[in-house]
Amino acid sequence: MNSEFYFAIAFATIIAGTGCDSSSKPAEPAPQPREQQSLSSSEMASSSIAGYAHTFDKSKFRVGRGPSDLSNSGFLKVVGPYGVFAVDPVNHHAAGVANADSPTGTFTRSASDHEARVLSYFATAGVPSDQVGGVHSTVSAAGGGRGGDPDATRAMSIQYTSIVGRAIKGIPVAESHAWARFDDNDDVVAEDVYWPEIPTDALDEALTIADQLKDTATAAGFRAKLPAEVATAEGRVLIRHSSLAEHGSFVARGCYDVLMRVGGEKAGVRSGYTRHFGPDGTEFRLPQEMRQDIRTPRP
Amino acid sequence: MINRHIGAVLLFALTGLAPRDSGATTAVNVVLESVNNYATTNCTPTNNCATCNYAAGDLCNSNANNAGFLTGLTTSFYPFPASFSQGTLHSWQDGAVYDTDFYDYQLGTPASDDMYFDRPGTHISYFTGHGWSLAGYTPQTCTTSSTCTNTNTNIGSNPPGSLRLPGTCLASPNYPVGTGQCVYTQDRKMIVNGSTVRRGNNVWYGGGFTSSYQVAFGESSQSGTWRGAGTNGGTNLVVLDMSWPSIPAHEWDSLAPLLAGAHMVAVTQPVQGDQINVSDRGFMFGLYAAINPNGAVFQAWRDTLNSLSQYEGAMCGSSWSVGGGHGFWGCGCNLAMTADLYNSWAQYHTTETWQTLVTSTVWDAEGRNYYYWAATCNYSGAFTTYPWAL
Repeated sequence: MNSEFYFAIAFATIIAGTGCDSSSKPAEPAPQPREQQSLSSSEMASSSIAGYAHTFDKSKFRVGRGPSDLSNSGFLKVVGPYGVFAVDPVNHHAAGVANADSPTGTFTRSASDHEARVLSYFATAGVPSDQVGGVHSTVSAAGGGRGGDPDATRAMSIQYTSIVGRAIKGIPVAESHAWARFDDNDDVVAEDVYWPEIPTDALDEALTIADQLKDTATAAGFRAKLPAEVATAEGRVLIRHSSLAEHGSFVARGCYDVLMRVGGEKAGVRSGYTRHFGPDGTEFRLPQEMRQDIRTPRP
Repeated sequence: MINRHIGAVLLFALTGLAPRDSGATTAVNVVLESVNNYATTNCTPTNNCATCNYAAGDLCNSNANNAGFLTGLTTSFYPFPASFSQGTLHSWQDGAVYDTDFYDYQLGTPASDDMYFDRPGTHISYFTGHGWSLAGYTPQTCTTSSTCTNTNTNIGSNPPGSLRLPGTCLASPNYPVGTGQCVYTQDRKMIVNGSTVRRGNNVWYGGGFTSSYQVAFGESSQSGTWRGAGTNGGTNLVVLDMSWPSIPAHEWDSLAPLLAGAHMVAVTQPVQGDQINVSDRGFMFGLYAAINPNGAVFQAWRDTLNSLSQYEGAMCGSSWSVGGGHGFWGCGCNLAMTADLYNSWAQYHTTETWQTLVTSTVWDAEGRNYYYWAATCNYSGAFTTYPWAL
């Protein structure tokens, strides 16, 4: 009974709210942060840009007949014979995940058709049209058979997943997304949406950096503030924010992102990771990048 | 085999009768091994990784990524119960990750995976760190795999003469449509930086089927001893979150050698460029388990790519409109692979749920005669305009 009670309170709050300002979070259940917040700057400002909260009533995700409610693993879930639609009541992340044995249909038309369908779906659901930064698709395929048989490497069952990206005044918002995978029956077989409210301070920071980079002289001045190893590297102006992993204080920053190429042929290893710099060239890391290590002693 | 059949019948019966996602909590036994510090000892997020030596290979998000996997998998907050709770946990980082943690002593010594990465009773083993860059790639251009027969040309860190047949012609957005580059079977390795070094900090695990690969994961009393690695392992799912664990169209010879009973292996597979070291890949993967314990593990790994930002990485080919990002600089895919004795069993693992992965005692792989793979890639035209083997 308790879980249904909490579900009712929180779900009503989600439906009533349109963003994820801390004032719209449900009073109960009192959430325990997953981890300590580690970055103090630019917390939720008084002025903010609207987010979008995806809810079951807006979703076309197919859970099947006779669904029931369940409060579990930090999510308010609608559980049906085909899958689970879940909403995180703290940060409004929403996802639809099919059961492994759910009858799966495929989308047999083109990737561009799928992208148009997904874009239309989220526009109808309420994703702010002036924040849509584009849509692109990832491509899935599968194969298999007897080990060593060249035919087993042949890719079959092509599927598309289309991802609506977010941009505010032309500045991409990296951690925000709304993606879905449709089948030919116009059912959503998988989806994931995280589109939080963004403090205007973050946009201001990003626009400040973008302005500096427009002019050769000011761009040189900005890059001079950066560490030597990144000053000449290619970067991008973005808004970055707490990922959907985070339940602590929401952090959003306008920044200049540089992808560090790690290693090289001489080192015998390669990889990379991203570094973030604010308008004054100060480096920072996002809460999800400051996650506390979990260490156990070696036996 | 009798156990497998009885178990399958019982599982089917229980699956059909039991309510879905009943909210019950299941304990998960996890081994996490990750490495940030390859060149220094103080490359940590708390100092913005400012002291990292990038050129020499330091990473910055490996440890956060592995911690994130556990956080996502066991996510919960009061008063909600969790789908999965932390069972036995072993988590080692940086210098505490030894090369011998991954080797099986029945196959050769020094080795102690039975105490570390493949401890008996483990459900999931997750490694984040370095792999061997560009292994198997050459600058040979091609239009068909039948011409990829010259194993004497190498790029990157491949030792001369180390390539082996078969070769395939890999198409990608880096080459004109209809052309590609020859890639060959090549040794694969994980790279660590342990404070104790017994095998050169290299973990050679695949690239064909020879006795030189002494890595075997998942062997148990259920799987039997078909791999020659005893029955003192146990992990069901192996995640290799690193560079070049496999190469396109060579999943079988790259990854099957490390399987000895594990149900499946999940990897980040570059096509061009490389994967990047991110903090949330593990979290997203684990979170899909928490959202739907009856979802397919095989699918969850691939959807993890969709939920990582397009801006984590760099473009694929010559334009962002082609693709890129989502945890890769360049073109790449999240790929999962199963193997088992019979075709239907290998296929079953592709629909195996998180719940079954951590509760079943009958589905450890009894062989690797058959395999299934699936991949989700960050670029348009993958598999069609740009097939993995022309």
